[in-house]
Amino acid sequence: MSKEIKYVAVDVDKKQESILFYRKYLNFELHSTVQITVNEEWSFLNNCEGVPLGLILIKKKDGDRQPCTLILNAQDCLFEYCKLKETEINDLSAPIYSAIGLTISFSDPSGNRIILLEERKYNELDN
Amino acid sequence: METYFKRLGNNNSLHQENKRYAFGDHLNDDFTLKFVFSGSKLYKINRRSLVVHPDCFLAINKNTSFESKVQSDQCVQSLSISFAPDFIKDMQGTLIKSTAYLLDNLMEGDAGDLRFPETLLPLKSNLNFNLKHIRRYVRDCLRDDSLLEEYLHHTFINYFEIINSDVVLAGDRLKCLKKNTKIEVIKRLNIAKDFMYCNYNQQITLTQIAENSCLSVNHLLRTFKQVFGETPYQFLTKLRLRRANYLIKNSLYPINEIVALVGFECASSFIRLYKSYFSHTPGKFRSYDYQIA
Repeated sequence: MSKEIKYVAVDVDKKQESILFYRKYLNFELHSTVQITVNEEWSFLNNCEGVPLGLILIKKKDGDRQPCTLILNAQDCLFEYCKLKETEINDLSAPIYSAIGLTISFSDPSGNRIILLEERKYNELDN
Repeated sequence: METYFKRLGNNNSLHQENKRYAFGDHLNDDFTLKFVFSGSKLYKINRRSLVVHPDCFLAINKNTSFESKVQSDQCVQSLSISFAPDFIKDMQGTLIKSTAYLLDNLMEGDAGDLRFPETLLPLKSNLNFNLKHIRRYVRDCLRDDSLLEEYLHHTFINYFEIINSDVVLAGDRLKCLKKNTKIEVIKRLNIAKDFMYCNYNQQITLTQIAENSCLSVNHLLRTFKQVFGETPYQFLTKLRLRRANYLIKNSLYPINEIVALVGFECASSFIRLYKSYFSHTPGKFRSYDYQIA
């Protein structure tokens, strides 16, 4: 059995708005939507940049939702920051340096936290 | 592209050039950081010769007179990033004044007239990553002023990080009581480092390093270790190894020739030191690198 992670689940309450958000700002494409139970619907999103990991947006009622943090890889965090600054995302953080690299964060329409991480290996030998 | 120049709306600017030969006398208009991506470039400031290589960079203050010289068989790619006085004044308000451990005279002056140490510093950490993005920006001929403004803003933040870790905080490790003495010793130790950065390929002695930085050999040995956590010899050996590594990676010189080019006298001791520092032999590194290419 392959143990490879294929999808990450994200609970959302505003389905259409969320799909639009992930398509517009994070380069995902809607692949399909499947009704799992009467109360639960899954929307499969694939990344357009060839990343094998996909997202499943699970539409849930507000009380049943568990907000999550999604950490996505960024090649150039400042480039992404400048792009997102021009949009209507209103809780975009300034770039933050840490021991693992440079990050920016913001929220999707359902309040899930998205972190873009430009991982940096701070090794003296690499310089 | 031989030259690229861009001045932004906030008057910060970026200038990249590729040249085999260039010589000039300059009066620096704005505080500038000088980088070299291939080859080396000589700067003369107040009779001090400072050679910038790809592993280090130089800061030159506003209104400093200097000479620059490039003379090489290969194209030397250099980059200058200048910061306008108003930008520095703004950064002083947000970044510099909040830094409690600032030593007064290492960075003296008000507002846009702040003076930074004109010394060679290692190109490392976030500054190195940021410069890679800037180089890509220039190479791909992007035209996005707000992105370039962000890159330059972060270049200054990254530069300040290095100044703090390698000059200001290093000074705090010096075990002497008087602040003025501390400042003077740090200045001299940086001159000692500059001397090694520029003469790494010569057979330099501890006496020469000490004489050049106006310190006694004993004082140099003791304070250098206190401040930088290593002896001048260890610093010089690491520098030679890193520069040898650069040549192994970026040139076709045989390894025996590289040994002499970076100032080692004996190939076998070079290989032993190289292996203990990088965990592989130079030959293995080169063959692995060729395989990738």
